[in-house]
Amino acid sequence: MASARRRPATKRSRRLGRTIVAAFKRRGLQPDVGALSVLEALLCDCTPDEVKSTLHAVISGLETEDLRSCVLNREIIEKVVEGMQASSVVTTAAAMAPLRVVSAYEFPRLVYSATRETMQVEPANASKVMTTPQAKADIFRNQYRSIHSRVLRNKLFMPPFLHRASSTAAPSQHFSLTAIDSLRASGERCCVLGLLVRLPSGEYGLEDLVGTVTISLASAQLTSGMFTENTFVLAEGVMVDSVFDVEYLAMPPPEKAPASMLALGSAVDPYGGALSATDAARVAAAQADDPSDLIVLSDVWLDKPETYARLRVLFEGFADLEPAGFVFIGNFTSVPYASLRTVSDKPGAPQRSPLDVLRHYFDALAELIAQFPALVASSQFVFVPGADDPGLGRVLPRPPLPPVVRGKLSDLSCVTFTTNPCRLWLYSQVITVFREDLVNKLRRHCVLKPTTTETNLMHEHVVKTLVDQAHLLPLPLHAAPRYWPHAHALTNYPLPDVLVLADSYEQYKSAYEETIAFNPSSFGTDFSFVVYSPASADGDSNVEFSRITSIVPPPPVYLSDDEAVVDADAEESAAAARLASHEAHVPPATDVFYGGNDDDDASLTQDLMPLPHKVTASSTSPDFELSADDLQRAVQITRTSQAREMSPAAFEASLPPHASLRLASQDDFADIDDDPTLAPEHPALVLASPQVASSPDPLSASPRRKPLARRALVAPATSVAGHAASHDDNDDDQTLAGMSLSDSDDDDDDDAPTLAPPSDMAIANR
Amino acid sequence: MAMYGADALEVLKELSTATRLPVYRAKSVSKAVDEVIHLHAEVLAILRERPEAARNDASVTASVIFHHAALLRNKRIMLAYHYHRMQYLQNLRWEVGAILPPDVREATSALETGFFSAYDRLLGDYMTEVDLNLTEDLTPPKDLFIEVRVVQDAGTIITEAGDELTLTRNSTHYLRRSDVEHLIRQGVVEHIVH
Repeated sequence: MASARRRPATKRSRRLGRTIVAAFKRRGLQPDVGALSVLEALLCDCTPDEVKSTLHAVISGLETEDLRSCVLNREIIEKVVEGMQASSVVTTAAAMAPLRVVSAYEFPRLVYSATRETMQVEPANASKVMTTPQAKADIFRNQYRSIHSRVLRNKLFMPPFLHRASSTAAPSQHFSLTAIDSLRASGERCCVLGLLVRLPSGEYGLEDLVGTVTISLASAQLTSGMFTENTFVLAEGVMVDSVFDVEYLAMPPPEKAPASMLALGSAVDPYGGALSATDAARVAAAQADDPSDLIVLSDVWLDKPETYARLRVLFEGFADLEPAGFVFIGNFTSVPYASLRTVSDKPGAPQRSPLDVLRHYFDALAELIAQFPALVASSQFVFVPGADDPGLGRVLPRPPLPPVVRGKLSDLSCVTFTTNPCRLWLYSQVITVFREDLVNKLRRHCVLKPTTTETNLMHEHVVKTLVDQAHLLPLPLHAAPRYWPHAHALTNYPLPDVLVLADSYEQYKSAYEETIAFNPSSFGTDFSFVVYSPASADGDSNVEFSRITSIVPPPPVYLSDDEAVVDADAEESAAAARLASHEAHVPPATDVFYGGNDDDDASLTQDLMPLPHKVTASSTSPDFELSADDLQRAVQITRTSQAREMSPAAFEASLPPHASLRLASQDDFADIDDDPTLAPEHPALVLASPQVASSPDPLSASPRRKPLARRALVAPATSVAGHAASHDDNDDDQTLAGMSLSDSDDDDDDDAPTLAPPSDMAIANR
Repeated sequence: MAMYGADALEVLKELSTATRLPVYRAKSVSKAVDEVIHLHAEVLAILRERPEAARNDASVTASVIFHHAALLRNKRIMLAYHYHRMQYLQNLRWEVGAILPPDVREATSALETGFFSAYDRLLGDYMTEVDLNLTEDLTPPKDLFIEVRVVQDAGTIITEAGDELTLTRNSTHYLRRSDVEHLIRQGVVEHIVH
């Protein structure tokens, strides 16, 4: 029989040890030697009262730990003590900050528990990347069960209650789900929830937890949304031989966030990073009082010098407003970072690696930010990487930008580097940020042409898909690879308050199921960004599209009009040179703008065709009223420039290519902005269409541009070229690369290169 | 479904026949709640449609009373179900201690776990205040010292008297009862009864 050994100890420390053990024993806990020594070290200099309160705090801290045994070891106690020390200093400050960042690795995981028949929240496990194949199967199983339990909670799928015979309300229609392996036996109309897959035979099929069935989609009627491979769908139909003939194909019904939270239980935090009740109340009070804004910029191309100038304007504008944060979303270079120009301008300088170049850009950004101490003090700067930034391939979730490129940015305390996707807590709101070219990517993988009965706006289909699927990227693993143990980072359940879907597609915003989704569009192409104001006690949340229209250059002095024209020539050749250098950066000129918001069927068919990887044409927001202010500003700038007796041509040509495009198109719209039906056309189209040139009023002349996708054109570069050329009556043989691309098949009556500038006309008309 | 309250009754029956705590039936509970909402709507509908008849016509009055009784029955079953489980968890705190056994942990809902830790905190605070371990010696002990065998390795612990005690599996110790009582309850050591 083992005997107890007496510890060599002083009387005082023995008394302390006894106090500690007794305190733990009262809670049914027992510290071991290691744990006791940690506590003794912590408490040896304390007064009895302090000992009492500290022990109380430690034991309370243990409650949040997931204890498996009543014997506590050193690690658990150290963890709790560290947590307490850290929380007393940091968390209170961090909890008070309006913006908090949760990286994808900290997202809790929702796992279906068969015994409890509900989804359970499993805490995040940041360490694992490699796991067993089981994890791969679990990706889709968990998603299926999550959607399945959600569907069963929906009123349409609840079995009806008994009804009074005299009740006037007829028993509401209700569906019941059939498992796939019992489809053949049923022989009648059935409703199935399954994963839309392509079977090895090449046909489409549905898959659930128990079986697979081949389906025929020939006569299927669709709901809105994009039915891509690996979406979960509700299919209603009958079995014909061994094929399930689908009559209705629907997205699973969505569920609002509060309902999901109710189903998960109030004590859990499915988003990660939730505050304690008291902190949450404080933050909510701060939000109700006077919330500060969040500024979202995507595609911040730091390799373009004009980006810094525009950012300076942005920072200057917001310096006094103390916004909660700036979210910089990648890509941070206009070309993949690996192909950055690495040769230094100075002759003889050693060649730098792309990473060095990128670090140099971030250094420059850090210096720019540091010039605004008010922003450094009040705002958070969050950096979310894009697919072309340095990282590990295209696998999601994407880790933060590597420390090697952060440069001086990492010296700033207000900067956070996080993953793609990530979650932001803005006061008490949850914002999911995801950088992916979603619209085109989903469109490319559609199994069926989306229906246009409810909406013909492509982005609304996309938002509906993401919300209904409760997933940010419902695509097969080969099209959207993810780390298996972290695949849950892409789930979109429960729904966030705001979805930031940074995309190179045109700007949009859309509200669906109380979730606001918006795309800030590319800051790199047209310097547009989004200001998001959270809901306060006074008003609702607000998404405002903004754009830094232009920076007025120092006005050159012209003596006479003639000279101005001469100068304009010079400027124009400079613009052409810029254009040439610009073309080196933009993807090949085969890039075509597809009219995503065009409502005719033909273009939708086109939409489903394979798309080029990048669509770089800048565009206005489909919601035209939003940019009306910008428009006015742009017009005013033009007028100011006229007032300064600078020729508009010279002024516009002196702007960077995109800016000048923007200015032209806005000017063009200025005449018609009271007619919203005409507005949402692509400005570049207006510029490059020969029809437009021949008509005094460009837009009324071609009310319906049918083959939009085909006619399409062309990188912004072309329109700039056409525009620049216009200023001296097309005398030069400006056969710029892009121009020959503009397809003029269906406009035979005009010579393609005579493009009249709408802006000129607009000015002339006035 | 043949009868109002059938789902609710099912879970209550399961609870009464079980030997250990059965899994919390969140789905059936939410179904019962939905049923209550539905019944309430039915009652209101009858009263709205035929306010006079509900007072005078015996058959309509019976219908109202029937729906109302079904509603109350559902409610009573749900209260009984939750109260019983709550009692079970409270007893567990006295008999087992602050750590829920794994099977119970699996069976409780998040709210129940929250209740358990809140109760644990309340009791712990009270015992700290009066400086007495109330859960010790729930039955009057026969001996001050007992012989125990270690069931699972638990490292080296320290008793209140300041003695080190290494608990390796299958070793036996002769100890003060109060030093190991909580370990017996948690199943770390077992009491050897000769």
